[in-house]
Amino acid sequence: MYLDGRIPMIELSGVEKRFATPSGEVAALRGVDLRIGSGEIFGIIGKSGAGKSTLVRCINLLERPSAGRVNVAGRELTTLGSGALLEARREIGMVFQHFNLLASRTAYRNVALPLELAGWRPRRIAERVLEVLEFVDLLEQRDRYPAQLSGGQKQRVGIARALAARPSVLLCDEATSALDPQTTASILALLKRINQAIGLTILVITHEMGVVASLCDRVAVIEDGLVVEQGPVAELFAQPRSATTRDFVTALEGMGSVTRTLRVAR
Amino acid sequence: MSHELFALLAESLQQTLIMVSVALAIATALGVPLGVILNAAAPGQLLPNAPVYRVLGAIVNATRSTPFIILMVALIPLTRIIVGTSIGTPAAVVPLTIAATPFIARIVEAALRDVDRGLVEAAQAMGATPWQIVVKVLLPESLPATVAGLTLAAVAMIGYSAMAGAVGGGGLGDLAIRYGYERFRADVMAATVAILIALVQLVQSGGDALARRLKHT
Repeated sequence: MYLDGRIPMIELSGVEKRFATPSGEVAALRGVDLRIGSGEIFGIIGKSGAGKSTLVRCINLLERPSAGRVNVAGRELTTLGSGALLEARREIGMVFQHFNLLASRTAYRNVALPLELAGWRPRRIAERVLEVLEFVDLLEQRDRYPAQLSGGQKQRVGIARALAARPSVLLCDEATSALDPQTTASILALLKRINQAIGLTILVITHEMGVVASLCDRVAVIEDGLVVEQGPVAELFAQPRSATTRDFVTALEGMGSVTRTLRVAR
Repeated sequence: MSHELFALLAESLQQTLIMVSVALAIATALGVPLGVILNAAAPGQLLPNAPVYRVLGAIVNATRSTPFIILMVALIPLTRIIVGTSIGTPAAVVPLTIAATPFIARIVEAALRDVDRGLVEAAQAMGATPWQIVVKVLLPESLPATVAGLTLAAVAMIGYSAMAGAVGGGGLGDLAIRYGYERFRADVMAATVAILIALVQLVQSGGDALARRLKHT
């Protein structure tokens, strides 16, 4: 087993989520079990509507699971009261597809926000914000507003903001899906660098196998609210068992061969 | 322009400015929290509370559907309690404030509702309390829309203030009625209208410019 007997950083057991809709109850998650080790980069891949976004929101309890247990960094979040839950969420950084930066705040003040919320002293906030902005290479853009930044720069502000409060877990919800391929590559490289530099556990939600292939150690394939397959990325590529996994692998290989063909053609 | 006319216009303009700015300030101080409560209590928002939302909403709507001239007369007893008299510029501030407060509350409610839900989600993921979300995210992010809405309210209040003559409130509207209409002074009427137009233009372009600056694009 990959975890080698280590205590998992994220552990989901039997997580279910049902939504009440006008046309009846919809089951978005139907019993998900996952164990993600400390320092791991773990991918969750699935097609749209498979339940990926619901799953990641169940990890920081933005969505409260209808059943099952969620344990992050040794804390059982599903049993916490609302005050303790707010505290626990500060341990979990989150990066979004559409960045979700405050238009009214500069890059610097966006990164400072989680620290203000956590009640840090101004001097400590300033030190920490400059430190993370330097890490994501945005020191020079610190006084710009989001509207004045490129997509890649915005996402680096988003990542800096997620890292500011020194979380033990980073959740990335389709963090590169709104970006062009080159920018995607630079953001993936940044995530890898964060993982290596501070050993941060990273959970990546995506619908692109390329993201999984270039970033993740292990991956779980989710379909219709269930994990249909999981394991080390190389293994899944070599021997995809489920039809969905095969689709993802073929799609990626298809793209690879297209790029190769183009390269040869040139 | 005669000296006497100039003095009249200056005094009336001053009364209008006092009425509108004092009423706008108080109505903003009351309307913003009211708008925040309406927004937070609305279904699907931060702290959904159907009874609070319905009761506040009904009060706001009732006030907004009463024509200002009627509201002003109906509020005379309240005005007496607050100001001590029901006549004069300070007395006109009371009905103006009460008419503007629900208007501003709805403006703020709508401005807050238009803030991207993703920002609220991001703040929640950072462990923000509902109060922190209002203060650190919703209010600052909705500021350009709120300023645009307050500009709208200020212009509407300049219009309302013209009716303040009905309670002896003075102001430009009162001057136009008393001199321009009742004494056939076409020059006073023209001057009053010109000043009102200029005033509204000034408020509108000032508000627009401020809202634009706050957008940081």
